[in-house]
Amino acid sequence: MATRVPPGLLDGARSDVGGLSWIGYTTAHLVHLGQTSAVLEAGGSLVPVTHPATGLMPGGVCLGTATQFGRLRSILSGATDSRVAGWCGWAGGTRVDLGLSAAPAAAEAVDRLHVALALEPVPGPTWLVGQVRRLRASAPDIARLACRLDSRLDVAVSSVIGAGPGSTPTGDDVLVGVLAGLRLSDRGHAVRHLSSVVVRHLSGTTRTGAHFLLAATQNRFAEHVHHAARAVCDRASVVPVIAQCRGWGATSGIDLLSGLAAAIPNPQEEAA
Amino acid sequence: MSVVRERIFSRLYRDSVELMAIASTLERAEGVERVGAVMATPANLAILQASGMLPAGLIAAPDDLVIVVRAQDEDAATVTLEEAEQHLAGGDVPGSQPSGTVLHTIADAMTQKLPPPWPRSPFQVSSLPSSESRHCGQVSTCSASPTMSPSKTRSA
Repeated sequence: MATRVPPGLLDGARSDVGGLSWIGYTTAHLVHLGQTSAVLEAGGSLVPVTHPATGLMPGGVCLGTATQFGRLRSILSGATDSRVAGWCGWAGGTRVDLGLSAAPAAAEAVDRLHVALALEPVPGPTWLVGQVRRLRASAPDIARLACRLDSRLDVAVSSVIGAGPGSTPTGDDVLVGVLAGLRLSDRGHAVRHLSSVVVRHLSGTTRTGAHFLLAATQNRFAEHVHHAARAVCDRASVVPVIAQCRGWGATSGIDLLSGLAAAIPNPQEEAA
Repeated sequence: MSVVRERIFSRLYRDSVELMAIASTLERAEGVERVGAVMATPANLAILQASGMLPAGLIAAPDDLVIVVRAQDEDAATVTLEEAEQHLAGGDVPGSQPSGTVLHTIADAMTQKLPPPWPRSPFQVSSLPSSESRHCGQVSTCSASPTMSPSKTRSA
């Protein structure tokens, strides 16, 4: 029997304007229940339902309060069936456009970010640490190949997509970061080139990884990516953003930030 | 001579913090050389192979979680895989926590201590920059960073 979720849990919720409206969906399926997110499947799409501290994700719904998320988590964790019902008729609450716009980078911020990321330790079993470092280090090459419309981008992307720990593997987070950085620096030709290559390789990763990568190619980025983007615009934001990124999964936040930083041209070098 | 054994969990998603904690904890057991807990994507299978941890004949899909143990003998590998399965089943998960607690780091998960408050940057945005958002028929104004306005809110 499907688990019924009280409609009141959605009071104050926000949703991705590019995602499902949820109107008409009477049943969803629980794919994953984490500590700060529950991933549902509805209408053939993934719907990440998140804790307010996690923020809104592409195609998702962010609940209004921690209490609401706790209640949802409690209901879902006690479910005997993966089907979740009772959210039909919800009109979507506040719809948020998760698109990134171009923004001027600050040379000092970019420099500081690169230095800080180079010093950032990688957690996890020792045998995986080297892989995570390799994947992060691949970001500058991927950004460069994308900007040059180089056909070798295909091989570069295929070697990182789906690679690394996590249900959204490190390589996917790096690629989302690179796409975000290219958007921020207003290099549309590079975004289109990288997007076309990424879309061809989506079968090489997990379903959640593919979900976020596809969204990134459509200029829909999780709110935490928007927050991370501040680090390249404001020197004072670098330290707090890195601290925040450390809390996104085991390595996801720093993976993403590494990709983003690698795709931002240093304003001073560009001027020279 | 080391042995490499695996267990596949079909279409199982778990928080990366929890998986890393499980792998790091199990790797400390006697007779265990390495433990991997990764999604079975082609790239990760290649990484396992390069690390001498790809079990012969492994067949898994990208959405499958694979736990791989390289141990000094068959017994150590078997016991470790059983412990991994128990952790994933929710019994004695290194990342388990009191109700309502959110773990943010592997260290938190491994020590099961309370994490510090979720770090919030001073520019935290809850929905966004553009001029207004509408919810339940009401219009509210959102604040935006003066330096950057990357996202926009539309009314439903």
